[in-house]
This record gives sequence, structure tokens and C-alpha cells, in this order.
Amino acid sequence: MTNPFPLEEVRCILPVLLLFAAATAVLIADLFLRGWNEPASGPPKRLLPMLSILGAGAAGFFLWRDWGSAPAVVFHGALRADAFAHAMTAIILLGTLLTLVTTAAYLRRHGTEHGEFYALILYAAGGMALFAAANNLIVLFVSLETFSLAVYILAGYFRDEKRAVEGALKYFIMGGLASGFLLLGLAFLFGASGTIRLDDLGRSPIDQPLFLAGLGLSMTGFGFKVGVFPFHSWIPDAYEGAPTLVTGFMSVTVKTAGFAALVRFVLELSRQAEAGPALAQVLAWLSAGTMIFGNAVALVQGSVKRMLAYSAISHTGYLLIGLVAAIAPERGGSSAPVVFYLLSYTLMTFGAFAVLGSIGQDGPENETFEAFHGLSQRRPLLAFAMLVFMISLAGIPPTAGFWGKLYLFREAVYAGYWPLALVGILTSIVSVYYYLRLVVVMYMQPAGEGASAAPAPGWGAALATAAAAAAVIAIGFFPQTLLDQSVASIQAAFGAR
Amino acid sequence: MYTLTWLTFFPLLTAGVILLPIWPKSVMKFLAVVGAFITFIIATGIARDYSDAERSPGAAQGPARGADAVLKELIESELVQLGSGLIDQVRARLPKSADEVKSVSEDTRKALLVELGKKGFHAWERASELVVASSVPQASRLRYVEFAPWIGQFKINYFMAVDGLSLPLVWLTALLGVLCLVYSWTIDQGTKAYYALFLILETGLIGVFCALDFFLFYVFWEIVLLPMWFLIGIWGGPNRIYAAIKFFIYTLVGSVIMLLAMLVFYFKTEPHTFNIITLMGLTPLTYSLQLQTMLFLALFIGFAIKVPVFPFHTWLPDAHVEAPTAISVVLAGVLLKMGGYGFFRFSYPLLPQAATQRGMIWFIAILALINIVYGAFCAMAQKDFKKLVAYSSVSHMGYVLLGLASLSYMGIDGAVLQMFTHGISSAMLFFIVGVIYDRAHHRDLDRFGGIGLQMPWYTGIATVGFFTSLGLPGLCGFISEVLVFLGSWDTSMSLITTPAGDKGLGARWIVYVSLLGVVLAAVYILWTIQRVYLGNVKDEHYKHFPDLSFREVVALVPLAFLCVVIGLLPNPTILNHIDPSLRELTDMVRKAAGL
Amino acid sequence: MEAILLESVLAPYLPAFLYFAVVAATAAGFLIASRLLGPRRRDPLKLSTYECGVPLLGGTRDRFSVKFYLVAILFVLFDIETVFLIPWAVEFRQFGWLGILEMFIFLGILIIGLVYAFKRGALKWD
Repeated sequence: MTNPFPLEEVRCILPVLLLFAAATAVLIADLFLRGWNEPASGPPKRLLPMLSILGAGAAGFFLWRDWGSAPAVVFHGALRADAFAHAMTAIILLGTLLTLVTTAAYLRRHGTEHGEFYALILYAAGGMALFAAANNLIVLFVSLETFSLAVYILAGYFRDEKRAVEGALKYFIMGGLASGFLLLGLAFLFGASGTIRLDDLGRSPIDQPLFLAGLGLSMTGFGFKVGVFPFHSWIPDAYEGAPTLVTGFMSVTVKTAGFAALVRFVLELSRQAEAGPALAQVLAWLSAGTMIFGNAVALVQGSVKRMLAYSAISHTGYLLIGLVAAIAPERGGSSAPVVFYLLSYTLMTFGAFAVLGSIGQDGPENETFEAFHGLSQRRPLLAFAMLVFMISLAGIPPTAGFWGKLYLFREAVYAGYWPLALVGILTSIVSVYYYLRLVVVMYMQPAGEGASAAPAPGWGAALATAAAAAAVIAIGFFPQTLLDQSVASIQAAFGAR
Repeated sequence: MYTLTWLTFFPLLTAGVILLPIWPKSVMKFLAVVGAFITFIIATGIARDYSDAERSPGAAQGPARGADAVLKELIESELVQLGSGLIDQVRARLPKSADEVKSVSEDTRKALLVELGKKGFHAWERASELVVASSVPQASRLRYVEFAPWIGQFKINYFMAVDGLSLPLVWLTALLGVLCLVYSWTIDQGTKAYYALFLILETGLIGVFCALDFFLFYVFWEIVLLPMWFLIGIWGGPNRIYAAIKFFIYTLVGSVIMLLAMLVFYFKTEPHTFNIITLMGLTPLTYSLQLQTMLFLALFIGFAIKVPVFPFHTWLPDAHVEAPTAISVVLAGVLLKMGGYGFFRFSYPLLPQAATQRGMIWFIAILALINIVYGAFCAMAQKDFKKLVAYSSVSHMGYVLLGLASLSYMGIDGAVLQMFTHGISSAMLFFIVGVIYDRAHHRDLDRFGGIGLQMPWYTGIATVGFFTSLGLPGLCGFISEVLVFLGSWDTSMSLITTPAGDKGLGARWIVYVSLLGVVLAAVYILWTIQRVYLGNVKDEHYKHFPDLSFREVVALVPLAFLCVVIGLLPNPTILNHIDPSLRELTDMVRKAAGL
Repeated sequence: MEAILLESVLAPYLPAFLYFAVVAATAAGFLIASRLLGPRRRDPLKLSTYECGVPLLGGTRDRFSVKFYLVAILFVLFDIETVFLIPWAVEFRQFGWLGILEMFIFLGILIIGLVYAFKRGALKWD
């Protein structure tokens, strides 16, 4: 009998374990710092964010130590510790660290600093890291639920606000529905192939109709999670209701984790001869629809937060191009741009939300375009950072977002899907309008009545925002290393694609 | 070493320095001007060495060597990296000429990939691109070459060099950079941001003219866009946001269409490349004429918006009217030339067959005609001084288009010279408008009068500027215009007047009607001089106007000086240096088009 | 042919089907028998709601403290978690010392949960 508990394989999930351990430690530390049964406004808890940053940093360290190691299937095929999982975990950790560094001052300003917040962030990050490495349908589902539950709670974290509760409830119900779809799909896939291992699913003899049904259902589930066009309806409300920085966290890490699993899922399953072309076709339509819908609706938003929410939808559409390119029958493309794009997306989107969270208290009045009027006079550095993020989101060189989009479009052309690249380019032009509208009000309009107070951002928020902006520009000038890394991660994990 | 990199990025460096929060305002301004001035010195040094090298090409040393020699060396350094085993294999397979590269079939490439391995194959591809590039006749005119891989994934190189086409524009940019920064001394809102943005703009502009990698060009092109947008949108007049957004959207749409064309070039050419000189070496490209025409039109739209050519010109008057004086100067003096430069560097050399179709010659010649005549009529109708100058730019850029369409030696020389002289004269005119606007706070032509009595020095220099714009013999505007007309009138060379059967139009009337533009220019310019400077003083306020201040003298006198010098001695000052490059260009296009 | 296939596929389930049938028949039999045989006498006490034989206290739709929910949730949580002990206990000899360690880690996590619930006052009644 094989060893039921292979100890030497634990090091492959050390980052995940550390995240969970740090989360639990934060919970316990919070209890004892707070004193016996005291209400929330206990003694100052500077320690808690420190502790959680330390935990995430330690996870990052062990990830770095394993960087470039040979792919390993561990725990009886439950997980795959390969370069792709490493890269995705790294991006998730980046988003997590940015969130943790930024939130302390933000929560204190809103009088809602509880230890549970940090714990939930870390639990979510751990679940996502596991999700990115899952090679087994059960682990896939369990880790999905782990981070989803944490994020549902985070979305409704400001529980006294009506829109927060509404958004979180919507998110919860739609998320539950999506999980249901996914679970049913996974069950069908198991039924069709007799295996729960992802890497076997693509190679086993299958029952064709059942397999396709399972594929369709699970794609629907994934579609909900990452916000693909017909399944996107929860995103604007959930993003608007959640505390701004949680929205930032959700929009970058949940999307990264979702795409991590989706890439693995799609690349493995499309090895089935009949599944690949059909899936590519479906994904191409979904991608085009998402790009067009997200950008068109973002145009008419009056709230910056909602605008960013729709922009997040549209970026899902761009990311899908990478999947299409990888599984298209012509086999000329690669999904490596997805990795690169997720990194730049994490930096620029979280950065944008961090600025939004810094210009004033949470609430609709500080999320309008008017709130940003004349920000360049009040907070020149903050406005400049926002400018960088907006330019990058719009895909104007020289920024990280530009190379990400270019790379995606190039792969689409290689794969023979040039109309998709064309839609991408045209919708990018449309997106310029709403991103730069914000820049116009920040730089060219004087501060009016609705202008935000723009308090001094805490050092954490300032640090995270500045780092993200600097990284966006630096990657814009020197993307080479990261491009190489993303290609290497895909190749090491999935072969030539 | 790295002269061109220093030249391009010195303004950016200066911007970085002045953004440090340690300088008092006046020191900061001073540093910015010094930075721009050093840039100008570097540009002048390059121009001097370039003309020396052109005079005696064999003796050229160091960075002034021709690109053909430098690129050949690069092939070697590309191969050396491979290590001893692979190097001979790759060298043995290396094509010797552009034709050989073109004839490599898809199957051969696949076989090579198997034989040489991934690393060897990529080196082989890069080396064969360089083989093609070094065999292009124009390459021998390109000097100060800098070549380094930038983004290997997309095969984008940092490839910079200058030749007779780009050097005048680079030098003009550096010159106007100094003059504008001096002139902007009085900007007192957000001064630091203004100076920094201006310097970033200058880096972008110099980069656009030096970049010989299509993608690098595109990146610099976009770098120009953003600072310009801010400079108009923040420091502009009352309607600045509208003008800035209009400018931005027009240019962005154009540049994205250009990007699309660029990507088609990249994907349709084997080996995939963004290297413009390589692409030139592969002309006539193997694409169908239909696709070539589409590409030509795509590039045309991108560049025509910048020039601006007639139906795309409406952003220009708005932008000019709202922009602060120094920004108008750069806009008219250099930014418009980006479009013209694009025609000469990209559209014609890369797509010679599409460019010399009969329909296309008609198309461009007619647009040139419309630009010249329509622009002149519009200028005549303006009451706003600045708008008048803006429309005169539209009219003058029409000559560039006309010279280009003729594709004769003289016409091309004239067109490039026209870009340069218009850069000088329009810059002068906008300074002139700025000087009077600063005093009168309005630009209404009907309310001026008798300024000449009050400000004699100003009026004297202004007259030089106006007469240059009008094309008075002895001033530089005349030389370029006369060259354009002679070039397009010449039936042996010009595609416009060559008899219709011989791949031309045989439409001499286009040249005749274009001449109307000169007459109209005389009308609106003389009328303007009369309305503004002559006659009685119309307003009591005008009697208190001081004459030119020091900074205004600094901005205007060098330009006036250039007008006269180039007007009297066009050959030694500029034509001798740009003519060889432009001849190579014309020959190459004509040859590739089968003329 | 098809019949044979059907037989061979369904044959293992025959005992289960029989079991279901017997269960259903027994249940139905009880209900029908009590209906047929039982005497029916209606008086107010007989018609009132059955509450374990204790006299009624108010209506069914009474509000009661939200704390019951919390206790119920905690009960369900810890109850379900202990279910994992059963399969472990069946096989624990084969797992060896590592298996023991693993289960104690699991129990440790549960205890942390209990401590958390306890200290946050989830078990405090007022």
C-alpha cells in the first residue's frame, strides 16, 4: 500500500499551509489582544496586519525557493506543483500582499478594523493558491468553496451599509448557483471518464455526450466566477457594495485564481480531440461578447467604482483570448499571455482601487467622477498614480497593460483568430474614452462641490500604490524577463502550449 | 558613444532632474533650458558630423559610419553568441541577399528549425533580417546607428539612426525645444509639470524621427500623444478640454489604425519583423496589390490625421487656438511633421506599388490640391489671428503632399525642405501671435491696427516671418515651394504631370491650380500685415505696449536668422546634406514600383 | 439482447429494490391499518397540537432567540466534523503514527475553532 500521508510532498504546499496557519494565528492573536469578550474597539492591533503580512511574505519566500523546480504531481494526484501553479500563486500573493499593506489604515479610518478581516483575506489567498494547483476535481471544488466563502463574507464586510449587504447577498446567491453548475459539471465529467484527475480526463476514453454536457456545465460555473459576459450580472453590484479595497482584492485575486484553474482545466480537457475546436469556438464568442459588453456598458457609468467593475468584465474578455489561442485547432498560439496579463492586470487594477479607496470614505459620494475633479491639485502623486493605472488599463504604451494586450492579440493572430484580435483592438479604443475621462477630470477640471476630501493616504497605501505604479511603468519599458517567465511557466506545465 | 540615445533621452533625463523637489522655481526653469540647450548642442554636433560624413563617405569613422557597415558587423556578433558548433551550420545556411531571403519557402524554414534547433533558427532569422537590411541602398545614408534587442518575444529592437530625411527634423525639434522653453518662462501655474511634460514631449519627438523599428516608432508616437494632451488640456485656453480630447481621439484613432497596419506587415512578412529597413529591403512585398492598397490607406489615415490632410484637419484649428503659445509652436513646427515624415519613411518605401498606382496618385494629388487651396481660403476667412496661422499651416502642408505625389527628385527635396522651412516659419508665426496676444489679450484681427508704430522691432521681425510663409524669394519658404512646383511640373520625372500612359496622371492642371495657393497666401498674409501692423492705432491701450522683451527676442531672432540664411544659401546649409538620402529614397521607390 | 444487458446491469441492485419495496409496504401497511382499525374520538384535547404530551404553551409561530440559531450552527459544524473520525477509526491501524498525528492536527484545528467560538462569546447566553 502506498504511503497515505507522504510527508516529503508537504513542501510543495508549504505556501498554502503557511497562509492558512497565518490566518489562524491572526484569529487567535486577535482574540487575546482584544481581551476576554470585549467588543470590537479593543486595544490597538498593529500587530495583526504585521502578522498577516509576515505570513504572506513567508509563503512568498517558500514559493521563491521552489521557483523553477520540476513539475510534481503530489498527494496521489490531487495537486500539481508546476511552474504554472507557482506563477499563479505568485500573482495571487502579490494581490494579497498589496491588499494587506493597503488596508490597515483604510479599515482604521472606517472604524472597522477586526482581526477577522486579515484572517479572511489569508484564508481566501490560501484557498486560491490551492485552487491554482488543483489536479483533482474534488480538490478543485473544495478549494473553490474555501476561498469563495471567505470572499462572500469580505464583500459584505461593511454590514451596516445597505448596498454592501445587497451586493454580498447577490454575490453569494449567484456564486452558490455557479458552484452548483460547476459541481454538476464535474460530476458529469467524472461519469463520462471514470476519473477525477484532471490530467487523466484529457486522455481517458470518454462517453462523448456526457463529457460535453459536463464541459458545458463546468464552463458555465467558471464563467460565473471570472465574470464572463452572459454570467457577469453579479459583478457590478458586488463590486460596488464591497469595501473598495475588498473590491480591489476580489477583482484581482479571484480572477487570477479563476483563470489559473480555467487554463489548467481547458488545456487538459481540450486534449480530447472533439472538445478542443468546439471549446475554442465557444470561448471565442464569449470573449468577443465580454469585450464588447464590458466596454460598452463601462462607457455610460456615472460611478468610478462601477466603471472599474465593468472594466474588470471587459478584461476578462481580453484574458479569454489567451485561452482561445491556446486550444485553437491551428495550435499556433499559447496561453502564456494570460500569465503576463494577469500580473499586469493585478498591478493596475488593484492600484486603481487603492487610489479610489484613498480619496475619501467609502460611499457613493466619493465614487463619482465629480469626486475626482481637480485631484491633481489636491494630491498630485495620487492623481499621477491613477493616471498611470488608467493609461495601462487602456493599453497605451509604454505600460504593462499595453504589452499584455499586444501579446494576447498576437497569439490570437497566430492561432488564426484574427477577428478576435480586431475586436480586442477596437474595444480597446472605446475603453480609452472612459479611462481617460477620469484623467480629464483629475487634471483638467477644477475641484467643484462634489470633490472628495482626499485625506493623506496612510504610509501603507502610499507604498502599495507607488510600488504598483512604478512596476506598471517599469514593466512597460522592460517586459522581457516577465514575458520569458510566463512562456516558461506555461511550457513547463503543459508542454508546448 | 550612444550619441543618439543621449540626444533622445537627454530631455527626459532633464525632466527627471527638474522634478526633484529641491529646486526653487527659477533654478528649475533654468535647468530645463540648460537641458534643452545641451540637447540642441548634441543635435548640432550630429548634424555637423553627418554633413562631414556625407561629403566624404569613405572617411567616416565611429558612429558616423553608414548603417550598412554597422549592420554587417551586427550579423557577426549575432552569430558569435551561438558557440563554435552551431555557428558554422548557421553561417552556411545564411542567405546572401534580399532576394534569397524572399525565396525561402515555408518548408525550408521548417526544415531549418529542425536542423538548427530553436536557438540556431532564431539566430538565423535575426541574421537574415540584418542581411536584408544591410543591402538596402538607403542604409548607407543612415548614420549613428544603435541596434540592440529590446523585447525578444516580439522581435522588437531598439534600432535608431538618422539620415538626411530625419536629421533636419531632429535638429529643428531640438532648436524649438530651447526656444519654447525660454519663451514659456512666464508660465506660472504648475510650472514644474509644464516644463517636465514639455521635455518628455521633446524626447518623444526626437525618438519618433530616429526610430527605425516600426514598433519603437509606435511607442515614441504614443509618448508624444500624452504630454501634448496634457499641455493643451491643462494650460490651454477656455475651451481647452474640448480641444484636447478632440486632438487625443483623432490621433489615437489614427495611431491604432497605423498599429493594425503595422501588425499586418509583421505577420505577413517572412521572417516576421518590425525592422523598417529590412521591410524596405523586401519590397516590392509579395502581398496582393489589394492588400497593399489597404495597408497604404491605413497608414495614410494614421499619418494624414497628424499632417493634417483635408478631411481629417478639423482638430488642428481647435487645438491651436486653445494651446498656449509655445505648445502651438511645437504643434505646428514639429508635430505636424510626424505625419509627413511617416509618408516618406513608411508609406512610400514600404508600399511603392500601392503608392504609384494611378488612382493613388490622383487621390494624393487631389488631396494636396484641396489642402493648399482650401486651407488658404479658410485662412483668408478667419478673424482670429491664431486660427489664420493654423489654417495657413494646413495650406502649407499641402505642398509637402504635392511634392511627395510627384515622386521626382526635386519634388521630394522640396517637400522635405518644406517640412523644415514650414517648421521655422509657422513656429515664428505662432510666436508672433503669442507676443501680441500677451499684450492685447485678444486675437481679433479687426481690432488690431497700427501696432507697427508702437512696436517697430517686433513688426520688423514679424514681417520676416510673414514673408517666409508667403514664399518671398530670398527667404527659405520660397526655396521649398519653388522646388515642389518645379518637381511636380517636370514631365520627365513627376508622376503628376507624366503622360497618363506612362504610369502617371498627365494632369498638369493640378500644378497650375496649386499655384493659386501662393497667390492666396499673398492675399491673406498681406491683408493681415495691413490689418495688424499698418494704419492708425485703433485702441488707446495699444499705445502702452512695450516692444519685444528679452525672452521674445531669444525666441524670434534665431528663427528669423534661419529664414534668411537658408533662403540665401539653401545648398550649403541644408539641401546638399539631405539630397543624397532623398535620392536613394526616390530611386528605391521608383525602382520597386517598376517606373 | 437488450433484455440480457438490462438484467446484467440491474441484477446487483435487486436486493436494494426489494428492500425499498418492503419498507414502503410496511409503512403503508401501518398507516392503513391504524386508519382502518383505530377508534376515532374527537375532543378538544385530541385535536390540539401534539407537543410530546406536555400542555401547549402559545402558538407555533412564536419568536425565539436568535441565539438558538448560533448554537444550532455550531452544533451542526462540530457534529459533522466528528463524522470524519469514523472512517479514520476503521482504518487507523494501517495509517500508523502519521495517521494519529494527522487526526490530532485535525482535532487541533477543531479545538481552535471551539476556542474562537468560545472567546468571541458565541456560547454566552446573555
